[in-house]
Amino acid sequence: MSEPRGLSPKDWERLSAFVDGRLTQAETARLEQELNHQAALRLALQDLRWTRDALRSLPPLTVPRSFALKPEMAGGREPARWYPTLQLATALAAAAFVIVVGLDAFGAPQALRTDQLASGQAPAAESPAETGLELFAAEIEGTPTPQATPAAEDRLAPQATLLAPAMPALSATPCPTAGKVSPTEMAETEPLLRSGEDAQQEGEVQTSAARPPLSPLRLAEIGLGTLTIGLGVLTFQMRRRRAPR
Amino acid sequence: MDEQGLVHEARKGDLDSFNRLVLTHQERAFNLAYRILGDSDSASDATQEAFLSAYRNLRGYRGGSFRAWILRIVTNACYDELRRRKRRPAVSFEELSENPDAGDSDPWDHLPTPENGPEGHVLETERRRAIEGCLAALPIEFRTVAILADVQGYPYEEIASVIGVPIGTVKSRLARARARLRDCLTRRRELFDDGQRLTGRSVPQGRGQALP
Repeated sequence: MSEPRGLSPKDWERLSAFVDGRLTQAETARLEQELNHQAALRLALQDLRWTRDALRSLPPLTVPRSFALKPEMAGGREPARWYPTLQLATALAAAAFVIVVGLDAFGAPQALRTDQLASGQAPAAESPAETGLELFAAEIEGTPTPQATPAAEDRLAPQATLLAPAMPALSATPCPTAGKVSPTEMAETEPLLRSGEDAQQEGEVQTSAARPPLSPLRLAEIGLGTLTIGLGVLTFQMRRRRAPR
Repeated sequence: MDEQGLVHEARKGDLDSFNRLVLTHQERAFNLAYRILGDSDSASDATQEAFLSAYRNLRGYRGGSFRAWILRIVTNACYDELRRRKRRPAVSFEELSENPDAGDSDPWDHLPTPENGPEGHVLETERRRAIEGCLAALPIEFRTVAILADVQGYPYEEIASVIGVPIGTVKSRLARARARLRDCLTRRRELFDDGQRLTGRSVPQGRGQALP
């Protein structure tokens, strides 16, 4: 029981406000009248003043040191302002990067995929190249194949040009079965080998010229990846600077 | 330059202007922190943390009493510290071994011995400790109001601004805090029954107005 006997919490609150001069004129007049007639109220008022005086008797302390900020302490102010924005930007860049990689791997329209970009060359070039390789091997072996038709032979020369840079060993080293090949067949094969050698000399130039350009998706992957890493590093550094002492 | 001018300059990044504000308010900030936390080291940490936080969040200051704004940040820093203590209540053995005097520092050691000699000094110290003990025994919301109103003498309006409650709540909490303090101090009345009023600041009697 904190309030003096016979005093309600409301009376105690009025007395407390009275001590601080926080009652209205009307309230003050009414309380002063009550104080004249109630000894308990007067005692409570005396206690209240004594308590307040006791608290006010505590001397103020002098500060043990200056709390002025040093420049290195204050350095974290700007980062504090931009840190949340930077965090959000990093998260968004990372999410976009993941989405683009996912699209590239699974769901991208064919026109955007890197391996399909050179579709004008690659799919068409692949199967004739394989056919050419088979024909070339078959002719060297001297075994007839069903594909070795005159039409196929006509296609062989330009395809050998494509094959030559990829298979220099074939054209440079003597074939172990050369002895088994008839002169007629050798005569037919020779132009192919020669064109392969020519192509080998031009090979390096053609390789770099034939490299397909990067697809939009791959470009986006590279860009977003770089952006994510950059923002992540920046956010991390800012976080370290913001960290409390 | 006036206070608002310093705030304006500090907002633009002028650390010197902010430090002038720090020097103006650091004593009352430290006193508030000390009364809430009860030890000098924690009070220093909380005060420094509060000024740093104030500098970093100056844009959050929307005008009005800068002192109340700073004291609010100090109060919050103290509450954070009290919450930390609640989570980690024990002082480790290593800490005690490394610093055997931890917690015993008395910030009043620098005060001159009163004119009434060593005995008077001892009595003063006992009184002060009794009052501090009673303050520390109060629930934190009552303690803060009692410190702001009776120890530091701020008006109700500023207290309401510092702790973020309506003035009616301040009145009510203060009345209850005073009632509990009276009960507590009455148990140590022998320390105060030497016929003289308590020493320290002179306090207007009767319908006293809160000190500015």
